Amino acid sequence: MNITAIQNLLPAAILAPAAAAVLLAIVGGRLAYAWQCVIAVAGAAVSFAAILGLALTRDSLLGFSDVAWYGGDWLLTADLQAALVLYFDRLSLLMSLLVTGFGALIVLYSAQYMDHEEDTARYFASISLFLAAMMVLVLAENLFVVFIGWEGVGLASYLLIGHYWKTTFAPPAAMRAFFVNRVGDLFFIIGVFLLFQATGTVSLPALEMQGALSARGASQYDVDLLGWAALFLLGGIFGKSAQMPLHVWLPDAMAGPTPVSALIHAATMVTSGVYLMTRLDWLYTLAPAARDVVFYAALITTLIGSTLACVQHDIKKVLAYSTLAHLALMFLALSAGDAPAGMMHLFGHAAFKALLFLAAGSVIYFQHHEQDLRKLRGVLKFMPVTRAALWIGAIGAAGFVPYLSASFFSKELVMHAVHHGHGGFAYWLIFLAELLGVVYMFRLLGCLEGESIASGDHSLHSVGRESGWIIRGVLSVLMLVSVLFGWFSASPAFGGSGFLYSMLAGVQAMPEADLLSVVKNVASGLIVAALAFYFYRKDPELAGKINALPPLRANYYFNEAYEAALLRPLGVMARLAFSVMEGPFFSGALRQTGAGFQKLSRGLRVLQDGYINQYALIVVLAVLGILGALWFRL
Amino acid sequence: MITFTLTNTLYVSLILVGIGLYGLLTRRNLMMVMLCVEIMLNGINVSLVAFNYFVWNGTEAGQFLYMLSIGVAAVEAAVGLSLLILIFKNYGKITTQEIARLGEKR
Repeated sequence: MNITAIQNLLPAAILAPAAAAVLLAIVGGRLAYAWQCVIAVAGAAVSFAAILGLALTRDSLLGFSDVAWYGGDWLLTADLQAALVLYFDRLSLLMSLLVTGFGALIVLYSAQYMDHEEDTARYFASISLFLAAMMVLVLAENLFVVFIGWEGVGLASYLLIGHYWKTTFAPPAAMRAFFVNRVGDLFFIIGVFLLFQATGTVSLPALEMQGALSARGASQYDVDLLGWAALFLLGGIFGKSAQMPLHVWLPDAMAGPTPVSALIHAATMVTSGVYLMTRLDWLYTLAPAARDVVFYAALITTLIGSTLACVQHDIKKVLAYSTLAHLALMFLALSAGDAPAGMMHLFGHAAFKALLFLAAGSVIYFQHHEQDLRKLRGVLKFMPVTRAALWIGAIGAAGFVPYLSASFFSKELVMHAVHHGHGGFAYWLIFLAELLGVVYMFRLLGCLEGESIASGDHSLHSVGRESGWIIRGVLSVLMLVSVLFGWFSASPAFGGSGFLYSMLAGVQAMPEADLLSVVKNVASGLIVAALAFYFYRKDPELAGKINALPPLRANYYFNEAYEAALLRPLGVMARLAFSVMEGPFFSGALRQTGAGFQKLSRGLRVLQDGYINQYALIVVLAVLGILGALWFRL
Repeated sequence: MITFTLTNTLYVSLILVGIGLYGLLTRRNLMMVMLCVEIMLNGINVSLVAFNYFVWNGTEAGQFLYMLSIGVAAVEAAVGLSLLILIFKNYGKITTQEIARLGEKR
């Protein structure tokens, strides 16, 4: 295979799902459900195959050489050159394998999950659009192309959150996600221009190279300007990845269908902020203030996520707050300067969180969309594969079992790095958050494993059965992937290969995990898990009692604060603008113009009054006038 | 003593047109308006015949124009009368007020 053919696989990976999206959007509604599934799955699968083909034609994963594809000029000015270029290095490779692989699996899962829904063509079109946009984001060579994908995934996310548009809760949730992301993206694009101002380029590889030089003091950039660029970029990164001031949309995003929550709001899209920050790691090395902002925001977010996940009754909300906490952990790794650990956590998290969401979906599917943990007691009895998936996913997320939990060693590295960089207090806060992580995961298991309250419980759909073969198959694959990530993330000091870390970090060696810390984490995790499982299995209402605490019940008042600080003043301004500007001014001017013309026409209409006699008189007078004029001329 | 000259004949023609014009401007009854138009037309016809007799004698151009004018007047009367009948059917009256609305609501 020659090099040109290999390059063409890059746009193919984007165009396949894009073509599926267009096809489904135009003719999807007239196709049978099975064909809609086939088109969507084919788009995702072709994309995955293209990326896999690219990966396999390189020498080896570790000796990877970069590929670029030039798709034409785009924004070309005297200073700014941003062409449509795709770029494929090791980070893109791993990220795009994750996106397309999980994307294909989850679209396949949707084929069974959505079979009794309406508007499936729109659903499959949107999710294909998401995959295409996400691939643009991951494969983009410069920040402007990143921005195309960045907005594209935001749009797809909005469309999919609002999929159940007839409900009362989905449209506001979609609007909130869209709005929060737009606010973030405004900062993001300002950040991109500031970065361009400081460095003169928006090409990611060029920036990385320049950044590496700059870090060694070999290049002279305006450090202040870089710092501001880093801060503004954080707006977009925090918006997309749901960090503290801009996290409010993610829990509401659970209004979308469960496969969407798994793919977009757990495994891929919400990690794009982490991905981008990893790409710009050099920038944050040069901007310690921005790094500190990331650290504090992520520290607060992980605490918010962990505590709130413990008191949610909605199974998907538990997982959503858990996603917040895990995303924050990735940012903690980045802020502590260990980007590969953050990326490793991203991969592990994608696996176990997708697994958890899909297993939850498998439960929800047969319970008529009942998502309340207290009402779902005992359902797992009938579902062996789903039960296994939930257990493996929960152990992966709780992260206290080395080799089995995909998050164990990445978490270890994060805590180690934070302890090194920010001292003991932050370390213990994160340790507390992680223990809470164990609590909510085993609370979830305990609630689902508990005995059904009454055998004739009407709230529980009594036809207990396992999901169909597609769902079981996808769950099995993800279980395997989750365990494999756990296995390959193991640190060499504990007999593991450190494979995942070295793939992400290249030459950088994996930091050694501390034996004492490992023992402490495993032991505390085991104890807390056992306690949580035991108590919540016995009494599912326990969370309800804690939930009585007002700050927890109100999700720490973030929504109320935004309401008071932004929405209400905006509402006042809007009403003022309406009553002052719109009413008397714009609308009034229009009305006056219309009335003026009516008055004019009424005046002119006197001439056309329809009386024959008057017309005749006018004719006669005109004739006399003409004759008179001729007479006096003569 | 009134002699039979071109000038005097044209005065007759002018008087007929004047009578017709007066009726056209003052009468409200559409039937009368039509009659007045006919009178005006005939005034013109008189002048045509007079010109034929005194000026274009031998060519008979005035007589041809007069017959053409009579034919046009007949057609006009036919159209006008049918319109009058329709207006009468619709409004019950045939004064100029009835058709002044031209379909517009007052």
